[in-house]
Amino acid sequence: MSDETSAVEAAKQNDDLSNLSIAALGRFRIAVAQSTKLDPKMKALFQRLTQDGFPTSATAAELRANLSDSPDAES
Amino acid sequence: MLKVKSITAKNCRGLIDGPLLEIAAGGMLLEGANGTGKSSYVDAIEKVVTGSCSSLDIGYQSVSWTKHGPHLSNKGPVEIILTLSDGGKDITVSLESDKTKLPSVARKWLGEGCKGSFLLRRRNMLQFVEAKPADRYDAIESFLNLREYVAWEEMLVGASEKLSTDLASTKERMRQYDAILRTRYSLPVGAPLTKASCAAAISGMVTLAGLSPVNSDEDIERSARDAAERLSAFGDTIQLQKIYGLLERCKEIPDGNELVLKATEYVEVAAAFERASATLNGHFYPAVLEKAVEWWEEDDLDSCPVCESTSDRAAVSLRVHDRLAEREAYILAEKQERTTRVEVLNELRRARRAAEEAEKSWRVAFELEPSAELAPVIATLAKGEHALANPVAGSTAHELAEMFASLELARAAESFVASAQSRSDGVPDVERHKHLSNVKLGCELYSSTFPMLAADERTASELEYRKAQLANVCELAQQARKDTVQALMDRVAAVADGYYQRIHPDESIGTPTLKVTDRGKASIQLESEFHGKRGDPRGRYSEAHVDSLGLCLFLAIRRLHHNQEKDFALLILDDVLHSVDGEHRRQTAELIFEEFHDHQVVVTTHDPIWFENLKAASGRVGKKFSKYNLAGWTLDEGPVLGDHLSDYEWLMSAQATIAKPADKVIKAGRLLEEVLHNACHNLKASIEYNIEGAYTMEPLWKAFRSRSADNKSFQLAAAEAIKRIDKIREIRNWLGAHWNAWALQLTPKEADDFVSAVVALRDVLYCSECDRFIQRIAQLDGVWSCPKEHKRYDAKIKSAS
Repeated sequence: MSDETSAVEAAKQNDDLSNLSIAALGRFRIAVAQSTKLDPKMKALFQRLTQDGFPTSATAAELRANLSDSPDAES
Repeated sequence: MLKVKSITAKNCRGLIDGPLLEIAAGGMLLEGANGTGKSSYVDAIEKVVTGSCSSLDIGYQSVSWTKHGPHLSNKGPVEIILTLSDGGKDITVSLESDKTKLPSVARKWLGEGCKGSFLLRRRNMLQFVEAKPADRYDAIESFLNLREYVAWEEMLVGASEKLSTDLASTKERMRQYDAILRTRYSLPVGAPLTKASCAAAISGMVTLAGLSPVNSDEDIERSARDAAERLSAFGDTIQLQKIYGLLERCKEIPDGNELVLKATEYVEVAAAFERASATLNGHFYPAVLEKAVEWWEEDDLDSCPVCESTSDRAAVSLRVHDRLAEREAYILAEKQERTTRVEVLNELRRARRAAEEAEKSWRVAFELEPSAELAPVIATLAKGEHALANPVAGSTAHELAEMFASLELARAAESFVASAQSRSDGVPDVERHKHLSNVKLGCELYSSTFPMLAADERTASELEYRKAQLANVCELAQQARKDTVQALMDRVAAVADGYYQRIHPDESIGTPTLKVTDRGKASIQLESEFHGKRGDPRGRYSEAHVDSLGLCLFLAIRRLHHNQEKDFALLILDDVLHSVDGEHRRQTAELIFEEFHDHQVVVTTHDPIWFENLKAASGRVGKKFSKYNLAGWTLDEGPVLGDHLSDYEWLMSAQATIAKPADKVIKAGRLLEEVLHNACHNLKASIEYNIEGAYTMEPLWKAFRSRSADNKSFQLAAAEAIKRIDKIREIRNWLGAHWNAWALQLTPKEADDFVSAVVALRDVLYCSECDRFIQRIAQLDGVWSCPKEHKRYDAKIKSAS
């Protein structure tokens, strides 16, 4: 089972409507994994950011760093 | 779990000082006519729990808690005491309570209460049905527990906005680079800005500067170095720039020829003007002259209409025309004098300023006082300016003529320029310096700015891509939230429909759907079914059906909120049913207590029949409920507590055992009347017609007695009670007609006999499990039964075999 598939399965198991935030995050992870519009790098970034639940300020910084760094610096 | 134990208030809404209402673990049923203070208690609870009052804080300036929360007499501050308990120590909450200092369990309970899904009032029962779709979403958003997820969405949106900002600043830099490069290489907007086009422009600069041609980036770097080396030979370039500036200023000093020509013209025009002025002595009234000639000729007068002299009319008319022509010439001369004077003035000013700028540049270039040639010229020009700006008839032109006779602007300017050039001997070729500077700057810009522009172009392209990717992620995040809420709304709709079908079974209506639409952040579309047609429920439903739907949706949302936060289990329904009929009210009461047995339920009503339904339904869920009747209300006293027991409940209570015989008979009489009304109606008994529609005991009793004979099982079950009532029912009438005398003579035994007979008859006719009187079942001819056949009476008695 690929990491992507296991993330989808894990998210499906979390689709419990007693906590909508968790349920919505699960759906989001499924949607990201199954998206045909996102490139693999972007998918991996968002799966990583959400794999341990809701992102913290540290992950927010990571998100900004990944998205806003100049392309030259990243490459 | 925390529950409300009691509520009391002072100077609050309709409450002047209580009374305190205790609320049992199951809840409270509060009955009272309109205006007896029921909603004041509800307002007080809501105000303490949520900090606001939804019946007053409705967004209008004229209505608010501040204005209308205090009692009308306004005798003191509003005081509300809400006592909470989880079985341990009581927790008191008031308007003044510092909620941060309350026990955590109370803080959490109040926090959930603030989300506002526990109280339904009649006036806002239809709000969810009638709200705009976006407002429906807002109404439930606070307790969806989506805060963490919404924060995540906001984080994504924030990242997207940051990308947009980065992209915008990158594009702004690119725009600036573009402008700088186009200016330097003289490339018009719209022409391609490429390395090739810039290199071509540099090639042209190199040619003008007499340097080697450029064919590559390396050549351009070399040209920059060559130009720099050659420029270094020019020495102090700043001093050079100053001298170049002085020489440029010298070129701007006019030679004076144009000025002299203009001044000469002015002298002539001024002379002409003076001559024209001399012809017009004294006052001149052209309108008078014109009118006089006009009247003289039109009226064919013998004498002048102005001076009445008998002159030659033709000669006078000719003279007037001449005078008018002289005046026109004067006006024209005056205009020419003014125009020419302004032109000469402007020329003088331009010449003076050019000479002054040249002198200033001299001082800057040589840090010395300028050569003396221009100074007297500047003074003369200034004097001329002054004379022209303040003309004096007859003298200005002469003064100017004399001034120009001695003005030698051209010679002075020539001499000044010669002095400047003499001092600038040895300054290299200005044009060459300019060409070399162009090459140097052009080449340096090519090497420095082009790489930055190219880097920014790559950055912008990457940011555009990431922005598009992140927009996809934001869309997925929003859709995931909407899908999740939709899943929940499907459950809410299913729960609401379950409730609705309990109130309206087999009516082919209901099945609401709550669809989270794709529009905007989020909104919820409500549809429902009416005999196979779907649409907005308001389109086809009766008022009662819409009421029920509003109530069921609220209850389903309360259920949903409770699923999210199980520690908050309070449900308050404030006089919610008005248009719903008797049977549906009964089913609504059963629904509330059966479905919300895990809640503390507070229901207020003005309707004594529904109050009895509520008491019966609440009595079947095995929990204790407080019951109150508000018998009245006065401005000075507030609500007055009454007796909440029905006649039957009172007769069965301990109160009855110590009551006076007459009171018992009165209550039993009223109960008998209620029982007979229901029996006659449900069993289709034929009652003697009464045009006023008010049936007294006797015709009801007769009709019932006659009808009861049709059902043998019932007759057998009720025989003893009927027999006893037959025998003693007169005492009820006697008591009504002769209260004083019979009340005194009535014995306790007579009263108890009557009471027990009425209660026995009521028990035969009434099913306490179904909370209904028996009725004739049309489909089973002859059978009298309650809905669930707990009490069933067949028309014929079955044989033992």
